[in-house]
Amino acid sequence: MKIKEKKENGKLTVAVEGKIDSYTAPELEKRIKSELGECTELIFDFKKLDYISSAGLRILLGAQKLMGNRNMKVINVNETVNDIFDVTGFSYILDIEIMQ
Amino acid sequence: MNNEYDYAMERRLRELSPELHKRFAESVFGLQNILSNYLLIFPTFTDHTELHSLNVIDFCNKIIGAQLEKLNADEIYSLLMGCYFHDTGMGITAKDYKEFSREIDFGDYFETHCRENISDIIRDFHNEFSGRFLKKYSALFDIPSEEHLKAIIQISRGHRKTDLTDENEYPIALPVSGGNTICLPYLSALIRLADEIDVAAGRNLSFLYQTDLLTNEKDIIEFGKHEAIKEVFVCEDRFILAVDTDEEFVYNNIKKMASKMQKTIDDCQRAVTNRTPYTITQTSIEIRSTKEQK
Repeated sequence: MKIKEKKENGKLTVAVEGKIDSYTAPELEKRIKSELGECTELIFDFKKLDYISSAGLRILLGAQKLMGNRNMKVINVNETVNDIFDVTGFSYILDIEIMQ
Repeated sequence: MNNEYDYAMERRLRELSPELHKRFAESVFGLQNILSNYLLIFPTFTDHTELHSLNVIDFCNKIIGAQLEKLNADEIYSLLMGCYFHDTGMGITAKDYKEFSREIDFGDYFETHCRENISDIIRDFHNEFSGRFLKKYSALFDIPSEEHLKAIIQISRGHRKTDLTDENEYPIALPVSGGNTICLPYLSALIRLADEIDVAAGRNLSFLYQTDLLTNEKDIIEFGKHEAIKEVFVCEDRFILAVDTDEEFVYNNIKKMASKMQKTIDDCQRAVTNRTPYTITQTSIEIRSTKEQK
C-alpha cells in the first residue's frame, strides 16, 4: 500500500494505492492521526485502490466520526471497492463518488 | 494475507435475499449514532461502536468459514443484525434504564452490588439491556417479523452470560415465515466468541482514543492489554493472540484474559457440538510473542 497526502487550504487529500487490510491499515491510521489536524475537509482518493478489508472500512468510519460536521468524501471509487461499500451498507453512510 | 472470507456473510445474504440484505444495509445507517451513545455513560471504555461491530462481523466470517453454505438467509440476516445490535444496551438513556430494569431478572446481583451504581449495572447486564432496546425500538429498523426480532434479540443477549444449552431460550430451529428455521445456539456462540476475541490494538483507533489521558486503573489495564495485542489470528484449530510487550504486568493480565477466553471457547464448543449440526473448529487460545513470529 502507498499513501500520498496533499494539504491545500484546509483540505486534506489522502490518495491510497494498493490494498488496505489489517496489515496496512495501521499505517493509514497513523497518517490520518498526524495529518488531519484542523483540516475542514478530508478527501480519500481511491483511484488506485484495489481492495479494502473491514480494517480499512473501520478507518473510514473512524475518520468520519472524527470529522464530525466537517466534510469527508471518498472519490474515484472503482467497481470492486464500491461493491464492498454496497454489500456492507457503507454506501448509505459515506459520501462516495464512483470513478467515471 | 488470506481474504477468503472477507464480507462472506454480507455477500451471501445479498445473493440469497436482496430484500433482507437491503433491510440490513439500511439498519447500518440507522444505527450509526445510537452505538456511540455508550460514550455518554462510559467515556473511557474501549470501543463499543459500529467499529467494534465490524470486527465482530469479520471474526464471525472467519469462524464460520466454509460452513456458511449451510446457513440460510434468515440466519445470516439475524446474525449480522445481532453483530450490530449486541452492544446497544451500553448506551441506553436514563428513562430506558428505568423502564428496562423493571423487566430484567438480576438474580442475586444486588446482594453484592449497589443499586445506585447504574453504570456498573448497565455494563454487567448490557446484553439484557440490548435485548430490551431491540424490543422497544425494532420498528426503526424495519425488522421483517416478530420471529426475526426474537432471533436478533436472543443472539444479541447471547453474546454473553446466557445459557446457550437452554432449549427454551435457544432452540436449534426457531421457525420463521417462509419456511426457514434459525439455529440460535450456533449463531449466539459465534457472536459470543467473536466479541470475546476482539481485543487487538486495532479495536481502538488511535485518532479517536487518547489513552495517555486515562486515569482510572481498570481502564488503563484494559487499554494496555489491547495495545499489547497486535493482532488476533483465527486459525483452523485455534485463536492466536500476537502479543508484543516486555511488561510482566501486562503479559500476566493477557494470560488471565486468555484463560477467560478459553472458558468461553469451551462453553461455546459444548453448546454447538452437543446441540447443532455445526462445528466450531477453534478449540483453544494461544498467546504468541510477536518476537517469536519474527
